[in-house]
Amino acid sequence: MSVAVLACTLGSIEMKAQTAVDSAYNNGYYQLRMEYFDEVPSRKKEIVFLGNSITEAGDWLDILPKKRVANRGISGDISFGVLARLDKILENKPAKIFLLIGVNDLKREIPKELIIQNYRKIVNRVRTYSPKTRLFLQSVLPVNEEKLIEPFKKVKMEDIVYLNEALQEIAKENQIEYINLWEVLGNKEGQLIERFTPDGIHLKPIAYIKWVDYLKKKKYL
Amino acid sequence: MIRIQYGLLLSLLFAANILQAQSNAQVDSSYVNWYYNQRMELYNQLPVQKYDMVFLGNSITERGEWQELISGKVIANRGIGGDNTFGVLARLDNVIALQPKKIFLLIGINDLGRGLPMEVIFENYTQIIHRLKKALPKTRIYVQSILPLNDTLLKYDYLKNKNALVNQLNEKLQQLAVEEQLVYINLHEEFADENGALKQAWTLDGIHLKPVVYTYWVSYLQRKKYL
Repeated sequence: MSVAVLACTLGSIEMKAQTAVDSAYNNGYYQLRMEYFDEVPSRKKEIVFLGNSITEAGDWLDILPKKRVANRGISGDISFGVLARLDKILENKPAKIFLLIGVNDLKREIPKELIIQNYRKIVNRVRTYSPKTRLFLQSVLPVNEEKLIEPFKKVKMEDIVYLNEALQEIAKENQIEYINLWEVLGNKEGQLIERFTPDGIHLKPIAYIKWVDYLKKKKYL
Repeated sequence: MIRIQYGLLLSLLFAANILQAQSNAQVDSSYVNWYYNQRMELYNQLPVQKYDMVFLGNSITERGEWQELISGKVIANRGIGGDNTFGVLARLDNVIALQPKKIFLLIGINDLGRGLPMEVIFENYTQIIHRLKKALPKTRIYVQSILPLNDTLLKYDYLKNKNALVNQLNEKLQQLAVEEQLVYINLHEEFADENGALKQAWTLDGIHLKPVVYTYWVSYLQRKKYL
């Protein structure tokens, strides 16, 4: 009897732990994109934009038609998903990786320390497997709190700031670049510029032109 | 009496609505919507430079990451989700400005989905070709067959049972290509199953393509030496 109760309690603890850290990333859309990435002819010295829907929705290939760009954004992706597909990306030894990940982790309420731990793992793996790749850690973008759509209401600006401070620190420790995108996509109140976003979190196509201009101005591109 | 008049009025209104709906269906030439506008806003801000190829069309074109699949070429993706022949006609200047060596055109399924008469679609298509040829006499224009649909997977009724129309329109496009001395690309060779439907394994919704299918598409164009 008491064993049964104990087992039951353990079960519920485990369930709680699972709901607290929802690290699942391998959904139908992720698989569709991965199936595509597996078939794309491999190229050396690519410039890889790596992240979630914010990266995927970027017309990087159109804005930079003369560069060898690969869009490795997967809508809905989280830091766990990026880690899981990083080796595939590093196989081709890309010239540059522009990483932007974390806002869906916050949406799912994945503990910040876990996200930061994943950032560190990503950096370490890039440095180990493709030491010549220049990895750029891009700041998680601010949201526009007034426009923010319901599903993302769990994303809090203070958490974004916290992640960005960690990213900045990791960049410094590893002597790689941290890119503060707030300088180009944030307004003076620290909100995502209103005219750049349809829903408070995603970007309109023209915002990517500003983003690329900024990367060029900083000589990252 | 009152009741009869009311009924008469209703049926008159109803008839008027049908007439209007019909004439709307015939001349529903609209193409501007928020999505079209934000794509054009982007396209109009991109620096004008010379391109090797332009892929021109609707969402099926837009979702292709042509630039990474076709290496070493300067490529512009000018697909706009939801676009139709009217929308393409209206933005040809933007395409012409790119001075591409090749244009891969694929447009028309949204016109058919909207129920536009075949003649209207074909007239628009002809105008697109004429304007492109006149402005870009050296550009090779590839007329791609409108892709088949897969009725089993289609979620929207308005698109169902359209494959006969797709084939009809494609025959006209093929004829046009011959007359205008353009290359007609029969994508059905690659995309259709033995019943003439879009291959079931290649689509989730019966109309759009799974990402990996674009790699097959590009391989096909390469095999045919169009790229």
